[in-house]
Amino acid sequence: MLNPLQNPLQSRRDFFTSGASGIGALALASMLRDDGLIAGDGSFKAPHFAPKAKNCIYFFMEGGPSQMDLFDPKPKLNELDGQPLPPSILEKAQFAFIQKDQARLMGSPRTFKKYGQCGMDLSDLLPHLSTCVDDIALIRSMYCDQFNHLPGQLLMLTGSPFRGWPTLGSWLNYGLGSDSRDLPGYVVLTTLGRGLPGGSASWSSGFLPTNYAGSLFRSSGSPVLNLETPESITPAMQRRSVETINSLNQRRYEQSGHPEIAARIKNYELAFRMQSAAPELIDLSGESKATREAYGLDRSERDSSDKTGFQSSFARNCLLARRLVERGTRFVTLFLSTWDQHSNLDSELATNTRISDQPVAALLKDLKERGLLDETLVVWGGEFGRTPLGENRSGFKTVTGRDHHPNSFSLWMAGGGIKGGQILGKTDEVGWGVEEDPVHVHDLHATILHLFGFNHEELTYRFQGRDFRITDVHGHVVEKLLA
Amino acid sequence: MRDVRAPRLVIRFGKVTMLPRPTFLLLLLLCLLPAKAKARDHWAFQVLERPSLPVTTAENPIDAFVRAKLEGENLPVSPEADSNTLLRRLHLDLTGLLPSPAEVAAFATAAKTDPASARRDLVEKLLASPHYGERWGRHWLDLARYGESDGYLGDTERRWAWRYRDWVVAAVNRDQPYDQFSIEQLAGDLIPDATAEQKIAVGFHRNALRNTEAGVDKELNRTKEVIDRVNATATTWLALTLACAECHNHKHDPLKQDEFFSFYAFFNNLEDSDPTIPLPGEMEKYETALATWEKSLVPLEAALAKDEKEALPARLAAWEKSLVPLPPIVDWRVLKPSKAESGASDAMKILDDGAIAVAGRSGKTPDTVTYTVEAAIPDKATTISAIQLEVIGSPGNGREPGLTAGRGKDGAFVLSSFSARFEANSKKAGPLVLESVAVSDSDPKSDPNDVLDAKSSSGWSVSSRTRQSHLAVFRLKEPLTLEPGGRLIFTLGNKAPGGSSLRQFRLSATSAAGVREPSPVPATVRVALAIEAGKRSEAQRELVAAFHRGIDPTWSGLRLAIDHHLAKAPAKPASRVQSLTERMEERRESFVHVRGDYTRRGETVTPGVPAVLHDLKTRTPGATADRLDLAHWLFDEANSLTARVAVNQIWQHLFGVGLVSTSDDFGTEGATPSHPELLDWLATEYRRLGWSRKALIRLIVDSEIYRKSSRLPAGPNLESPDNTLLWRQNSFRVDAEVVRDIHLTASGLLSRKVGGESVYPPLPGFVTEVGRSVKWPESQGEDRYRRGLYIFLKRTILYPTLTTFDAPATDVSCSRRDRSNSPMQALALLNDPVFHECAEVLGKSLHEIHGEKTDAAIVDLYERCLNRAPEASEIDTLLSAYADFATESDPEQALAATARVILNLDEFITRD
Repeated sequence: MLNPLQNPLQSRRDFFTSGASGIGALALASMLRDDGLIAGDGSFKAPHFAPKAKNCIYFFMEGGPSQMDLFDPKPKLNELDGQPLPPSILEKAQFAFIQKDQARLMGSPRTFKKYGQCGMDLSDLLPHLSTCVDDIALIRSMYCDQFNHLPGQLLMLTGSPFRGWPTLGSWLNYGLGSDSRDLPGYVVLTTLGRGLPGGSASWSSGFLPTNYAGSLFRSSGSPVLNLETPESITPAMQRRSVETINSLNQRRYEQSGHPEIAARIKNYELAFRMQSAAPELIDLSGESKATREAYGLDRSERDSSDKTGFQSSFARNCLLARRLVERGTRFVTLFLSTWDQHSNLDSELATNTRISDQPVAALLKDLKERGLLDETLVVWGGEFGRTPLGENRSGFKTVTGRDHHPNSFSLWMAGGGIKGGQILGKTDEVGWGVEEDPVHVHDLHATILHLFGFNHEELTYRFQGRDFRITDVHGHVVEKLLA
Repeated sequence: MRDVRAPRLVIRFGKVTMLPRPTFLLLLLLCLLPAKAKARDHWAFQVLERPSLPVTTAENPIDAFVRAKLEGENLPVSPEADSNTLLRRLHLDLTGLLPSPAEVAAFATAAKTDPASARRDLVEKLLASPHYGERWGRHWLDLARYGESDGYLGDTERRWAWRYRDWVVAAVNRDQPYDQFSIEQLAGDLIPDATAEQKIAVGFHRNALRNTEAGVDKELNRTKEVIDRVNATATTWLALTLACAECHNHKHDPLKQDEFFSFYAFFNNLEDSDPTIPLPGEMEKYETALATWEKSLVPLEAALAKDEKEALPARLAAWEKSLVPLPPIVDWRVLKPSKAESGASDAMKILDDGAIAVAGRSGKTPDTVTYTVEAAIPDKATTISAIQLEVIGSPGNGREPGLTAGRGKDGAFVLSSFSARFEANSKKAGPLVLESVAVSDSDPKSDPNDVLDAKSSSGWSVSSRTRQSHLAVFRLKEPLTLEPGGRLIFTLGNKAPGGSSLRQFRLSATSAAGVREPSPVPATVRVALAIEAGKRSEAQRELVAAFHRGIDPTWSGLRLAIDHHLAKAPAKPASRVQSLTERMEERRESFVHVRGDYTRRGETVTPGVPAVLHDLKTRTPGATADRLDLAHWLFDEANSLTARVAVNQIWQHLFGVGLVSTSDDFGTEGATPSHPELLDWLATEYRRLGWSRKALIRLIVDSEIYRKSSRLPAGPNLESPDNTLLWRQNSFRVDAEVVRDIHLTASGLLSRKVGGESVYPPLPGFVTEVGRSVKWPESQGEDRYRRGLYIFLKRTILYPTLTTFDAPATDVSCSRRDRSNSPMQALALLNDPVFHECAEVLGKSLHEIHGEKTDAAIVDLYERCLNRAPEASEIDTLLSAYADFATESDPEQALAATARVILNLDEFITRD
């Protein structure tokens, strides 16, 4: 009798080919297809060329961080504080809340200094990140064509402003499969301020098979629902149960031939392994005091002003991201949904950077020390930027924030084949539009796929008669970003 | 800061969906269909005509079309499914429950002699089962985006939403023709002399999400509800993605925007309506209870009347005699309160006679509470020597129950502390020194003097004769002259737990010297008593009599019995319905929202349908069309979509996929039908059958293709032959609710109760924690084991086991569920407490029946769960597993673990 769980190290491919009563070629192909290891035509899928990056940690800063207060100093904007924009620009502009007639430029109270060998200027709100600049490629010339949150987020996450498309993490798992046998290949960690407008669309597999969807982990306690075996079932019984279930399922599969059964066998294996792997993953007791300190794991307890506990929650997620990547998870998205500063920009931005700056920098250094940064691409950015104009929304007594701004914004990347220590692109003197090296979201996606060894035009999935790709009909690899 | 948004409302266009946002709506050109010229060529807009049957030997017309299509295709021939598979398929498809082993055996026997009639009998039995309505009603609830809360922040619960759910289940069960079923849901309120049921049906569109978050743009959110209603109507009946988000992404010509808003106009004057409509049988039950109650009131009233007539007058006379000589008249002046406050959230109402009536907010009584009362000193200086507190109660009268003096059990009160101070710009300001307290009446064990001790929690308590007034007189140590402009502030505390605070009271003061005790009669009664009995006016006679009745123990006792009975009067049915109605006054005009922005008023529009579709007729020629006209329009002979869409939905539920695979989109972006003639034939047949859902289901499940095996041919083929052309049945995982239902059926835990309020099966804490102050009052008893469709659908915390198996999010109309296959499902089936309980119950039951005969237990298990006998090798596999389990646990638990294996099999949750 075939016993797939007898040897936990035995790979699934072995399981299906070596067993005397093995499932056979059909099942193997179906399952490998599920893994994304072969394409629909039955040939094995592999990167198109040697990849630089194996894993990706994506910091999704939901809401739209203000670039001119963090990454893109604009002395001229400070000078013109209170002045209107030229009508020629305003006329074409679209806003969520700004009332055009009385709109005025708003300078930044932040101070910028040059850091690192590369001399990258960063805001005083990023003291920790400023020690990592030589590993970072800062793009100041991002732009997109969506000025509302959800479409903007979906565009950034999936390449399309509509629901129903696969997210980047799904594409990469589809293209490369997962290196983790015990944990999902695509994990989502959240520190939710105002929540995510798209909900699970933010990690959806869209039209790709559902096993490429991200798995949302809870940020405390047991990371996944139903992870614990019922009390009366001993570990040996659980193991024997899964073995028996899969053996009977396999029998059924041989009789009926439905690939769904093969997928279910696979899911029982993964579920079984997750039961031990997930608690181990979130058990941080083996992390040194120095690591805990570096990430700032216990900051919320120390900072009485952090009533939300976001400082510790986000730090913990950063550390979990490293542990996931170490264990072979292909793609980790960390959402921090607190960045939509229509008002109270100064104080809320300070709160956000207090939450995120230290652990993000700690993660970069930690990855580097462990030799993981070379193969781990780290991306930090939101769905768009914020206006150089102050937000004079009707009903607001004072102007203390900025509106959505797709025309130009900043985003940075590090590791995974990125050429660090550089600033790419330039915005105009008030930061309204991009002047040099514009990078559209599609270009970003093309570049990320390139780092993972894919030609973005060739990583496709046939759906409803059409070959879809994340860049649709757009996208150019930004060569300057490559190491 | 969060901007105004509607995160859940989804506007669909083609395959893609996105959220409308205020600014986003700037771009929101609600486009509908491709331009007329192109659209006219589109199959779904072709006039629906009955195709002629292909010539085949098929008995069932469905098979004639299917066979004709297969001709010339090199596809395998699939055999008919075996009788066990067919039985299980029919049970799952028609009721969503499993057959019992006895039903399996009976069907096998019957099928041996006459398979066709056995099958048809079974279908009739299943269609007549109340569980059929639960299963097919749940399909409809997906389209109705049925939920029991508002969605959004706060997510207010919709207490009566389930009335609509029950209506759907009942309407499906009684096989209400689809046209009526639809018309009542779209416009039941507009049907002349609409019945209660028709009003409940309108709940279809009440299911729209609602954003009540503070600070939202109410009109913007209202327009979003209207857009959702347009969308849900279009998805459900027309399978059209009526609204689209950004037109520039639409590769076809959009329909004119004014046409969208003409459709919108049908729904623009809807308003919430929550009429009181008794539940089925509730009124009858009430009337019966009322009659019984009335009957037992009669002797009580008779006893009182008898006493009043025969004995009371003599007692009154005796009482009057006992009062001679009459007590002195004391001039008590009411201290009219200017302010009264409660330390709890009580409402303090100052009455015209200077009394203060206390009422707990939302009916709640605080356990302990302190009242503060302020009284301004009138214009001239006032001297006071004593203060009187009246705690006011009154006896009942006729059907009016009495008012109790206190708020405690049966009207009891405790006054723990009483103090007064004078506030003024004078040296007299400060606390009043109270020398003594004397009360009219008190519980034997209580010492009213404790009232003067601020620390004591005991004091003056009265727990009987609470439907009359009681008095306390506080004597000041020294008479005090209070200057005008100052204020007296009284503090009345109740520190004794039990909610026994004062319910109604009044304060007065006197300057008379020597007053230490309350007068036995109020001043007005005292005045009347001074007049000779025969010379009193009618009013004075009644004043004296009423006061006497109130303190007469016999009369009060008889009256109290009536009061107690009044309190037990059955409550009139107050069950409500959450429905909608047409706004008749100040009707809203509909207009084009320029670039989708409702604040930018475009051309005014009147209700109408897109010109690409057939014409709309109004009931009254020349009148403005309304929702009822629209509902009739959907069922007009000329409508090319409604019937096609409806039969496709039914087909989808019986084959896992529709003849048009995009059952939500019959537009040019949707899929084309795999069997266009079959679709049209079924559509015309549905009409011919008088829109009987049951008849259509009966026809389809009787077809050869429905009955075929779903198995794929053996062999090393990498690509299994596609089943679009229907050479076999499909095999698919059962819906989320059914995953639960069959666990409960197999284990015997299932409660078969149909309808009623939703239930709250146990949930882990962290699931409810994500919501804001979510209440999840865990159900007890059989309600823990109700079918999945009865689980309370709170939109922000959908029951996780249901969502794991792809239950829809309920925010938009859903015609097609996802069917995912994930490790989370494996974890749920292995470890979810409800599923595990089912395995344990099964293990226990098997152990009781079969004892050590494990192989017999396994056979039983297969029959209960998989509705077939196991094969020898399956028994071997499970015996071996059982043996291993038994080394780790006792035999009963080992059987439970074996049952758990079966409940985890793909076969168990698959409808083959």
